Amino acid sequence: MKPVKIAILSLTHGHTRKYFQTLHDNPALDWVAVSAETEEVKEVFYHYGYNEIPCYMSDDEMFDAHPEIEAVVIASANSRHLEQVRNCARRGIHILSMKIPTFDLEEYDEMMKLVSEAGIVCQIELEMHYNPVVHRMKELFAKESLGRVSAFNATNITLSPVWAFPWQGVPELSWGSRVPLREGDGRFRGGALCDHPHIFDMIRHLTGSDYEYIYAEVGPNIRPDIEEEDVILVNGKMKNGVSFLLDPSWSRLEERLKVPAPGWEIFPKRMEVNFNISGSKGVMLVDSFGPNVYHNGAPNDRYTVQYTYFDEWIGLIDEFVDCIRNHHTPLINLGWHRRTIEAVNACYESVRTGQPVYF
Amino acid sequence: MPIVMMKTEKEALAWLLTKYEVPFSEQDLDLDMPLQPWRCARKYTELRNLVNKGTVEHPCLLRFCHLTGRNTSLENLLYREFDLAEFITGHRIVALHAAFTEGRSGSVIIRLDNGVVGSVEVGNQLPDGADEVDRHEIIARRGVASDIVVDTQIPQQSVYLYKEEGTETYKDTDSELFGLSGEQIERVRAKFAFLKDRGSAPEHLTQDAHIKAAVEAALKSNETHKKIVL
Repeated sequence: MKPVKIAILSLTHGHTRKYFQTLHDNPALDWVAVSAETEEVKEVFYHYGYNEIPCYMSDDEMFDAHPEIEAVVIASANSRHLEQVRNCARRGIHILSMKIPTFDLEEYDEMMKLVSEAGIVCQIELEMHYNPVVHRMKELFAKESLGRVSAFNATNITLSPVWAFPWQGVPELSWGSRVPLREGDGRFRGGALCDHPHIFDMIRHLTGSDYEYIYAEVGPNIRPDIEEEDVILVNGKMKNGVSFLLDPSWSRLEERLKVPAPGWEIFPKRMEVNFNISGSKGVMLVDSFGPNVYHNGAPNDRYTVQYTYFDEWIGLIDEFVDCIRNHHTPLINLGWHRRTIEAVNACYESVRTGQPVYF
Repeated sequence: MPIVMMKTEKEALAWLLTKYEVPFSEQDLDLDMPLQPWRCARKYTELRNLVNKGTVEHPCLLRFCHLTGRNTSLENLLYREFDLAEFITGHRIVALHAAFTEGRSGSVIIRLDNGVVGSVEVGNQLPDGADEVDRHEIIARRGVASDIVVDTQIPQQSVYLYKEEGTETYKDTDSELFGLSGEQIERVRAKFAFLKDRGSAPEHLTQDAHIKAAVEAALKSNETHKKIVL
């Protein structure tokens, strides 16, 4: 199969560095170039050692220099996604989008139209689907190991990336505009909730159902100096009666590093996606990123989880290549993902009104 | 493109070699070479990285343990744990003292060429059906590293499924080799790495001879009650 000629745009998203090794190692890809938003970002990129990859200071400069590019990873702030999708659609370039294409549903629908009319692949990066533990969980669900599922509780809790990836701390760049969380609250939409759509998606996949209603509550920030929410809890019910509790908080404190590096975490485990699911035949506890190895060494002598799970990006990219070359539709496409975005929006609406939001 | 369920090691190896465009023959799939395959397991490479990169500085003491059921010989357990001690620390075993009981369980105290000492507990008396217990802890002047989380005695699983009929557990670590056991994944990854870079045969064979000699020395030490210098 002819390798897909691929590039990365912007390099400002927190997941950007996860792609470097896969794009470099996978023979189904020919990594052509990257574009960087600033000289600082460019410098950080070359710090990873991929010196043979040319880095351009604008998307258009890169596309003009490399008309052979067939596909891109759009690794930018949420606020830039629409213009980049427009550019790619105009040029017929396939898209691997970050987990949030946009929260603005008019923009979202424009993206769907552009992708459809251009006949390009647009896959959404929800990498948990390529995690081996999640795959086991899907198999157990397929076998109905829990019988009739009654409760689905999940965490997607991490440290906050806002110091390393500042756009995530700016409501206009993360949420898309400056909307107060609720009357009298000095904070705005765009924080932890916007960073963690995975569990909102996974419950739909695993239960095969849709949201009936959703309720959300924000707590006082554990980082009082950021202007978005960092702790938030969500519960509600699916249409098939499954009750759920979702925690997408940034509830693990971090050192305020400008570039992710050892010692980033203050709490030992900086990222957790756990599931606690009950059904008529039993209970399932799942840790998608564990067990691991552990230490209390350099740089801060704190007890720390050293992760041993890294390969979600391999399967994700394999699917992207397969969709491009074999004209398949990605599992997580814009059409499927729209409801997940609506669910996140509904959480903010619930926070604003103090009441559940019905679908 | 769904994750593929691998049924056999041979199938998985052929799939990986094909995916990554590594030339191979049918004979390669039946490769029989002492590759020390555990070196490809992510948890050991991460422990090694913690030592190599100085996250834990100046190791002084190792505390290793590996308990299995009756189908694993003490010799095989010692081979694996001795090699892991050398792989993780980057230093060779130069002396040891062993004490076993009835060839089923016991311990070895090892000394590495940099002065680090280590305990290696081994045994094959777990009842049928019990999960293996293993632990690899590195105690350094700065920091401790371990593959067991603090305040527990047994390795954890990724999935626990509690049902009336009993509890099922799962630990899946490799999406490309989904469906294989941890040991099968180690063997496939080791063969894949070897076939990508066929020049490593002499290193593996030299290490095999060295570790076999250490295992023999442990058995002899148990008989003679003497410390043996390799």
